[in-house]
Amino acid sequence: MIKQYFIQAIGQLKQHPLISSINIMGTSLAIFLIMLVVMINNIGILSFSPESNRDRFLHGSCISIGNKDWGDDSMSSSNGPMSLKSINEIYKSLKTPECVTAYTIFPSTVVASIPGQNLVNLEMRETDAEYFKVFDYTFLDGKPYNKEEVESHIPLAVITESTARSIFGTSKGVIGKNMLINYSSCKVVGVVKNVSILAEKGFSEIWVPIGTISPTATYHDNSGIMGAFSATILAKDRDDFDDIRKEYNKRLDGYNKSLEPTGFHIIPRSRPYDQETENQVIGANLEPDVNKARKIEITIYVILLIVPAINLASMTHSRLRQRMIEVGVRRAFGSTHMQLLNQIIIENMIITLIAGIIGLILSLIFANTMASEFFQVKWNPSLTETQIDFSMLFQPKIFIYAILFCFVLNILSCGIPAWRASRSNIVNSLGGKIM
Amino acid sequence: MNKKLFKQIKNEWKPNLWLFIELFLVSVVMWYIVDYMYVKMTVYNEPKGFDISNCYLVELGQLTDKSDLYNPKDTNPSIHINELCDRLEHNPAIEAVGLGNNSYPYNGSNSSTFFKYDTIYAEGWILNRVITPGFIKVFRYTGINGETPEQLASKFEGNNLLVTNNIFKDKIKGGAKNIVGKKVIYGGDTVNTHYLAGALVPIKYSDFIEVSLTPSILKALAPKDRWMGLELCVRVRPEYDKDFANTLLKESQKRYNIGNMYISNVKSFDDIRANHISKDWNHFKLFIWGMGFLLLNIFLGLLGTFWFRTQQRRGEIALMKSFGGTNKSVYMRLLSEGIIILLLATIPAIIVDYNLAHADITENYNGETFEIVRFSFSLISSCILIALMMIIGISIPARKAMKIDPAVALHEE
Amino acid sequence: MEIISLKGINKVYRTNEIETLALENVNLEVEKGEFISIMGPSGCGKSTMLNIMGLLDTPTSGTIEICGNNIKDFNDREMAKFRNKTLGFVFQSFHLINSLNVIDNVEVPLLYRKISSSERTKLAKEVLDRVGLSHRTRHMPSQLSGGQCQRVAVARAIVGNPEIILADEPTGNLDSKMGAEVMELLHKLNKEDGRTIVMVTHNESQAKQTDRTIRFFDGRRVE
Repeated sequence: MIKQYFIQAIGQLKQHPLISSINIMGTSLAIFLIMLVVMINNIGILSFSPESNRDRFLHGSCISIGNKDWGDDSMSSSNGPMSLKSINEIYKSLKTPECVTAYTIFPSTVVASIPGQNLVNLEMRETDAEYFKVFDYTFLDGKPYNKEEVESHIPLAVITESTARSIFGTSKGVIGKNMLINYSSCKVVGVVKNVSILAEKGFSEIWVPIGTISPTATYHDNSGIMGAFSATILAKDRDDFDDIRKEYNKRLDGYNKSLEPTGFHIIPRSRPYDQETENQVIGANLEPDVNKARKIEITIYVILLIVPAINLASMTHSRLRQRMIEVGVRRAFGSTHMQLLNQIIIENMIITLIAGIIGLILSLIFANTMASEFFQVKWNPSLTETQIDFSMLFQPKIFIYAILFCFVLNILSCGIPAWRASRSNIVNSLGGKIM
Repeated sequence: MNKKLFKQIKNEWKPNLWLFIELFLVSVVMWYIVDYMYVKMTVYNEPKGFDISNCYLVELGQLTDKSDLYNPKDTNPSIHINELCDRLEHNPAIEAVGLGNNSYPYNGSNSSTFFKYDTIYAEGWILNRVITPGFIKVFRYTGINGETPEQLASKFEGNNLLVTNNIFKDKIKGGAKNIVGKKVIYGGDTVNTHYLAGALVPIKYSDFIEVSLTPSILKALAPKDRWMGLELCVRVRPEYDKDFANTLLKESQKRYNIGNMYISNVKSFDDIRANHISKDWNHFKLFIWGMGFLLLNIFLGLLGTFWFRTQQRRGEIALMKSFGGTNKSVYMRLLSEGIIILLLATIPAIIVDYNLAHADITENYNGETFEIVRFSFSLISSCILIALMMIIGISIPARKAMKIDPAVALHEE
Repeated sequence: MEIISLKGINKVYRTNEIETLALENVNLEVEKGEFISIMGPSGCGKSTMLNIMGLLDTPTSGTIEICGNNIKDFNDREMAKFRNKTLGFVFQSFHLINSLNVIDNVEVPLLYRKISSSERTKLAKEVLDRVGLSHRTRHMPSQLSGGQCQRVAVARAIVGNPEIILADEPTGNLDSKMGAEVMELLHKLNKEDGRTIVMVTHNESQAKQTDRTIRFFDGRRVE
């Protein structure tokens, strides 16, 4: 049966080369654009190194505070990254998660060199030792700095391959060598694979222990609540999210109590956020609206599906009109309504899938070669070029989306004509009368 | 003839219904996109009120005791900022040097304040730019009456303020230029008396944000408030603007790093602008992609529909030709069918568009989402775009139809 | 034993303005193994009669009994199954599926039964052998002559081993030589297999060769 469907689907394609090409072009174009939008919308959620555990992340990138002297919280608040004190109080003390890390919210631009050589501008992030447990970097050489080294402020650095090349001229054998970062000498302990800027929390070119070579750790504001740092929780399992939030809220209550004498209090804003929510953050003073984002996303998909679907439906209609005799013959020889409907839908599905594969491949190629055209992070002051490699996009979710959209497009584009054809009067069909 | 055309459209109403629905939907979405682009382009093309060409931001850092160069005696490196500005001004490549607080164009950090003349309040979000006179020369702010940046800078000191001419919106006829020299109230400052030293050509906040939304005040930075956390901006003479950022960074170790203060980064304002507008710009580009996609769909849809149509009508076309119809008349006949369906689809589309424009879904410009000129422009442009696609889409099958040999086709029938 | 029994069949076609009576109170019985022909001028209702017999069309009123089943109670699935098992159709303009080759065309009725694909091919080859086209199994319909097409159509009609074959002017589009071939084939199927055949025709001499001829005029059976 399926063999016949194939033969007929291909036969159909051959019979009307121009219409077939329009059909395939229209379908691939639709799948191409939809998949591109899917990728754009999902690049902030899909897991890839060094953020392979995005589904287990809970982010506290900022904190919001109000003060009894500032008036109502909705009118006046301060929002931004945290001090280490705040992170220790409400994040680091959590027991439920597997691990919690603190790191500077954005990488900062530093001058780096080896003595006597030209200065190079590079992006640097300050982190704790847990950072390398939460984010999975691919170490080409060496290893990350450990907890003791961070606590004793030893000037060490983990650098990327390309940093190693621009500073030392090679990425091999640089472990143990010293380099100047902001005129301070740091020993290289690890070399990792380059990181795409699309890993917003994981991106940098140099990582150093917090508070070693810059005064960031001592930047304090608002009674020491605000600072320069963000926290990310790595849960053991997604199912633990509720428990972690419960524990977090308990800590928050405790912290708020201790802050009472200062007049400050924390505005919760439903933090910490999972990856999808974090991806929707516009500003630290606004609680992200995931539902609104989803609605917009769905509207876009619907438009991108319906317009080509109408096109294709009109063509399916015309094609079926030319096949009415076949429809009649099949019914006369014992096909039921359902069998005929199935046949038309499956035949069309074969064509849709062929076109869908073309569209998907096109979208992958576009995403890869024109990454900076389509994929942008919210904040990229160093104007680092966006890099995408296929491993970031070759993910089950992307393929499931592609198949799902092919399926929906197929039903939309041939459902109505197929239904009408399968229900048409046999005598009329055999007489070649149009639907 | 025309009667027959309508009859034919009616007779083939089923395939035409698909076309109608598609054109209706696309008309609405296209109108929305064109409307969005119209607003964005209008805003983008507004005069900026500043000039960032050849401008750079110099970022500073502070050595820690981990550095061999650290000087433990230099506990307050901030004081070196004046010395640094001085040295930079002596650099032959540099035309102007300015310092500011949350002030440079395409800035993510902002301060706001309020402003009042007599009993007239400046309403809305008033940007407070606290700067040195050099800053005016760096970004070439100009007076509404044609004053040069140099003339403005010379008047800019102490409690003399400069404001953008649009600060009072329509509350003062002709704008702030008519109260230059008058006493004004600035922020919460009740101690000092402030005077308006001049009115500026309105300054934009960013390329895609309307100039009218961000009236600004320029306030002189007091010498005692200078420190290294400020924004240090320089304008480079065009003839020297080659690899300036790297050159300055290279020279910094010998000439510009003073005490524990060092230059950590030199960024061109072209890059700062690119980062600042990237989100809007990307959004804009995605709309262009969407528009291209829709137009391509129209093209494919018409190509397909009319391909079948000319196939079905071979005999009829042949008959038309054998009765003296020209190629042109065959082509016009097919095209008119398409255009009539488009016009029919546009009618409900206008109603939907009109309601969408009033539903606050479209972009806001001049405080409005609906304005008759803008609405008509977007409507007509989107209609023309669709019609163009239609002409291309119909031309291909029509060309085929024109080639029909009446004798052969009629024989086949 | 009568295999087809039609009683009091009326068929009315309604359009917005006009009501046309296509069949008026027609009674017809066909014995098992009989080869009957239906004749009459164009538009007399003979094709409508055949369509109603073949369950392709429904009468406005009247009862149909085929092989002892009252068709009135059938739903779409039962109807389809019944057509598939019991009835085989041959049409004037062959109605082969252009995008399928000969053997695939013949296999069509078997697709709607639970039969393995090797079994299908075997059955299709057997019937193609019987109609003398075993050397053309991979040809496309467009590569065949009219007579060959109709023989493929006959093969398709009998591949499912139906008891009844309904043929609507099977030779109408063929020249006399090819027509004679097809008629010979139908007679063979009637004589050798004992299949019941109902054939609509315009050809008086073909009608004479059949067991019985029924004539229609203006929607009524005339004798």
